[in-house]
Amino acid sequence: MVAITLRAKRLKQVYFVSADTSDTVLALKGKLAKMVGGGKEAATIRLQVPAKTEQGKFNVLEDPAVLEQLGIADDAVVYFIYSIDGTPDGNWEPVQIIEFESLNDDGDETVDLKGKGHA
Amino acid sequence: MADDCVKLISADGFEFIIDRKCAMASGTIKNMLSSPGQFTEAVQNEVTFRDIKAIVLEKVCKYLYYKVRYSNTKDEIPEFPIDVEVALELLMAADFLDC
Repeated sequence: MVAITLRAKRLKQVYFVSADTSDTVLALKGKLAKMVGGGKEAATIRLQVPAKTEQGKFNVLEDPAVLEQLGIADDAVVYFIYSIDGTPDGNWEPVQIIEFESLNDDGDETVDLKGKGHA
Repeated sequence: MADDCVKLISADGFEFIIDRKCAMASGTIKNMLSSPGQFTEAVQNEVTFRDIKAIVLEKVCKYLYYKVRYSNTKDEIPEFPIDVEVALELLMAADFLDC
């Protein structure tokens, strides 16, 4: 019922997908597959969200689940992965999160004091 | 990539795929994509920003969706949240992108 925009991330790509809270996970996969293009199908994509209980673990989103019930609201992030051999039952890629570069240049942290007179 | 999508590439190599309609909310991107010549950007629907970092570009994309969503509506418009750390670079990016 409520239109939301969420981010689907994989490696270094971020897809901004418009969806509705009443959509199912399968519908979301379909939209994502269409944006990715190249003949990708919903069946070969798997969506995951970070598990609330453990750090570094991910929960797979099942196809028939509805976004609203999963607690996916506006500006949510989901991670997606492809199946390695093209079949939904086969092996899946591991989820890799690549963080953005930080705003400050980390090289400025150490200040070289050589040559400056100290009192 | 679908025809109604545009890819924006940040300085650190992240790719942001957004709706074309939202990308057009930025004057600069609109000009890049609809210029009459065969510029690579227009042909491939991709624009690379070598000066804009991913954190900032992601915020820009979110803003473009916010702008399209709330332009021309009489609904109550919620505030667009901006972290202080990002604010300065976001300001520069917004000025460049005319949005």
